[in-house]
Amino acid sequence: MKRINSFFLSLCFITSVYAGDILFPDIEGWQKNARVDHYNADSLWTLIDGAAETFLQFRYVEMQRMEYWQNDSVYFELHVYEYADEFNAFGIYAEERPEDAAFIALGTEGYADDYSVNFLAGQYYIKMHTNNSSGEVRNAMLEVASLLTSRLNPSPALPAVLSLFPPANKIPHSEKLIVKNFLGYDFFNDYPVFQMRYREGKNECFLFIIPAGNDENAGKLMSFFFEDQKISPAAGTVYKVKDPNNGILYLCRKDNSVWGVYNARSQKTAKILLQ
Amino acid sequence: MAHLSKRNFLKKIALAGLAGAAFSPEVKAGISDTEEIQKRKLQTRVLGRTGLKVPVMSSGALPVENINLVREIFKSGIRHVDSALVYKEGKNDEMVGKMLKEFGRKKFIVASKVQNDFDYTAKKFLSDNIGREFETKLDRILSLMQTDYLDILYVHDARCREQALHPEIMAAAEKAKKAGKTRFIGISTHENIPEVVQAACEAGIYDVVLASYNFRSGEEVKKAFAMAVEHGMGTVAMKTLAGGYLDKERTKPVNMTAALKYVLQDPNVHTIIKGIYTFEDLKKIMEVASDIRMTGEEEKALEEAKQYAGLYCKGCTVCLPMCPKNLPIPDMMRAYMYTYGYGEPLRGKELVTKHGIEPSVCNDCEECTVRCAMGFSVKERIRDIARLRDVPDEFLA
Repeated sequence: MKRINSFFLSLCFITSVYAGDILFPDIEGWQKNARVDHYNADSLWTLIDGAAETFLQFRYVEMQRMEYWQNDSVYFELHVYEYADEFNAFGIYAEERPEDAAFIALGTEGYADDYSVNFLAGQYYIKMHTNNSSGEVRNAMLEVASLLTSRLNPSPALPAVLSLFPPANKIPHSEKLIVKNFLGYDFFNDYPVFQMRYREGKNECFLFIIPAGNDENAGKLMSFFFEDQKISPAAGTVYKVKDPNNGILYLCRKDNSVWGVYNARSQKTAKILLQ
Repeated sequence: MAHLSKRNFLKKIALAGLAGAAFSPEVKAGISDTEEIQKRKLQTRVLGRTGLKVPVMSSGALPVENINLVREIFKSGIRHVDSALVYKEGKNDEMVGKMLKEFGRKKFIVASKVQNDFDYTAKKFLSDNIGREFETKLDRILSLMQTDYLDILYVHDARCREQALHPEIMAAAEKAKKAGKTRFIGISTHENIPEVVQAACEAGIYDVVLASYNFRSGEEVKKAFAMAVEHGMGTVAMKTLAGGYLDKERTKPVNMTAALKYVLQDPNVHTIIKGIYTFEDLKKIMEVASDIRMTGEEEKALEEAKQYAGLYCKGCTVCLPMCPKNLPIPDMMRAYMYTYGYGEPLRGKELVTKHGIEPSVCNDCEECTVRCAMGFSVKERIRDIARLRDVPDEFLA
């Protein structure tokens, strides 16, 4: 399979590059660890066990960990995951983000509950958690998060491709970046897939966009779904495909990308989403 | 690993091209792979004193982004599903819950894991209320899974006996069992497996042990599984593909069926949990579950993998803080690989010389404190390779 371009190609590979220590901010009343712990792609599992697999699907650089202590009993810790770019960081952030989270204004996007604060800041995904749910600890965590965000100076917006998804019936915060095994097949692994869930009455269906860089690549990518390789998918034409494992897919080529809908109960839904 | 080829995929797909907004009726589908999968008869083993009969292949983390594949996993005959609260921040547990609702709770053996923050240097839990933290996390799992109970609740990621035998952890797990929130208690471990299993056997409360086991595992891991079985525990193997690749560049994939069958040759392994991320993976896993005999090709692939794995250091650097002499262990393992794997002792010598490693470097340490994540005998290898320093280059070229 021809790869689209080096930018998209880079989304799918893991690297392990050592970076210098992040300057974790000091805050009053809290003692920081003397040392920043670094975890590369080979050692991440020693901290987070099987959860590491998900983090390494995306183009992982490294993770830096820091603890803040108060009176030897109350603590919070930060895991700062650095990715190769903001797309990959968004990918892992979206993978873990609950759709019903309490979102707060922090970094590119973030949310918090009694014991944790998680947020996206450009190419960084930052996770904080504590053993104490008091307001004082939460304020300290938010202060560190805010100071750290200023230092990291992230992009204020999610990847622009997400704004292409039509807003009607969209399930908020359901957007994802899938870099491996899309639809349960490994032959799309060279392509990033942005996906959003939509309400269709009681049903939920999916709209996906695969940026291909140009029309020719989009056509080639689409033809992977076709039995008859002689077909050259025309722009704007919607193709209805029966996938034995995923049911009916609706596909079309649009704006240098492949757009598709699956799990829709009616053609009408697919038509609306693809138009 | 063989891939589902584009050709095979395309054979099963029919097309209707439609102009503009016009849509044609649904095209008739042929028999899908997944229908074939469901016809297989799976081999089962009994999970120790739990008495639970489980197919030899079970599901690990689910592909939560693909509900169609998750459904096929639940339809396939796999009955034992392993999850953890830390997998995708609870989304894995949530997906298990959706499937239990769809397929019926009683048809499945459901396991999940609770982990309390632990300081591995000080060997103590960080929380000042371990029991409450444990219970809160368990209740969150049950809520996400929309069920009243787990079949197996694991104390997650134990790496030393202090964790396995911690009175508050054991009390919290037993309290959950008495309250009917779990039928059985398990313990999961990736590191120091013999020590943790020994402690689990002593504790007496653990019914199941879940531990890493693959073709790179040493004899001590096999013995640990045997010990667990002798004590009546059920055993579950994980990390059976040893990372999935033989090399750091991820260009040499492990032969999946060979690696799985290797582990299942050991009768002390009752089942394997494996993440299933493609329909092709599912098909292969079901093939293994129905016939664990190795083919000639698999035996060959496994032999090659073992040879490669026996020499290859991943450079995870977990070993570095363990050595009191701060030796550059990953580089020394690389020197060993150059010498014995590549047949290039001169390259090995260069590394040894560069770091100024003396042949007697490990003599001061009676017992080596380094525990290699790959199971290498670090002390023996360093002593072996350090001898190169005194060998003239002309003998090595």
